[in-house]
Amino acid sequence: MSRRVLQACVRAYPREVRGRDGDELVLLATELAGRHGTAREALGLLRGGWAERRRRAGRGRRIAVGLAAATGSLLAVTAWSAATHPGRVEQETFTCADGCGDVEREVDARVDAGWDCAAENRDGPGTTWRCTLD
Amino acid sequence: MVAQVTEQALYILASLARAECHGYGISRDAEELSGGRVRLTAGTLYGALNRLTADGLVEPAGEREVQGRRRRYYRITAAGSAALAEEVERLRSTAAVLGARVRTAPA
Repeated sequence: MSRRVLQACVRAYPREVRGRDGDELVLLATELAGRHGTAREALGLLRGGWAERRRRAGRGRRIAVGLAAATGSLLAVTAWSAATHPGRVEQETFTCADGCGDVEREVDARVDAGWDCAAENRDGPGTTWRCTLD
Repeated sequence: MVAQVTEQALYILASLARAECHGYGISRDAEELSGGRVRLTAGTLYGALNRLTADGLVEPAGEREVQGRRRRYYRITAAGSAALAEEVERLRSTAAVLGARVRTAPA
């Protein structure tokens, strides 16, 4: 009888806890009921189970608040980026040291597609093109 | 800096400071140490041991067969010993200050 009552009280704990530690909790509560009485152990299990559920709910809320804060930060950064770089959606850089034919054809293809490409390092051994699509 | 411990946690740490122990043994020891004032139920003990384990003050020490049933053992960690020593020192200091006030208080 005492054991059945304690088994019922363990149901106050979340399913995950019951699956992992339920048997241990019932055995320990049954043993301690011999010293403290079944009623005291039953109340202890109910209080412990509710506390565990509250703790987990609190942790869930903290995770949700964290995610919301992270999402908010991401939106803020995106908004700031859009405000400081209006209309800029893509940027690529092309570099070649010598034999730049292939790279030049790639840059020309970008220009044909509407990209704005500017060459840099014209005096050096190689050339770099920065292409931006507004 | 060590984690702040509750009175129940203090007695659990004190119990484990003597030797590794299982839940039933910890509850019995805490009751004896406190002169019957602290009586840890299974629910209280389970929550406290989980919190102490999460704080790194206690760690699982495996399962052993005792009197026909498998029991989970726990042991105190170095951080747990430090927390216990710090809390005992704090209590000693508090008792000294308050004790002095009681001795000098007018009757």
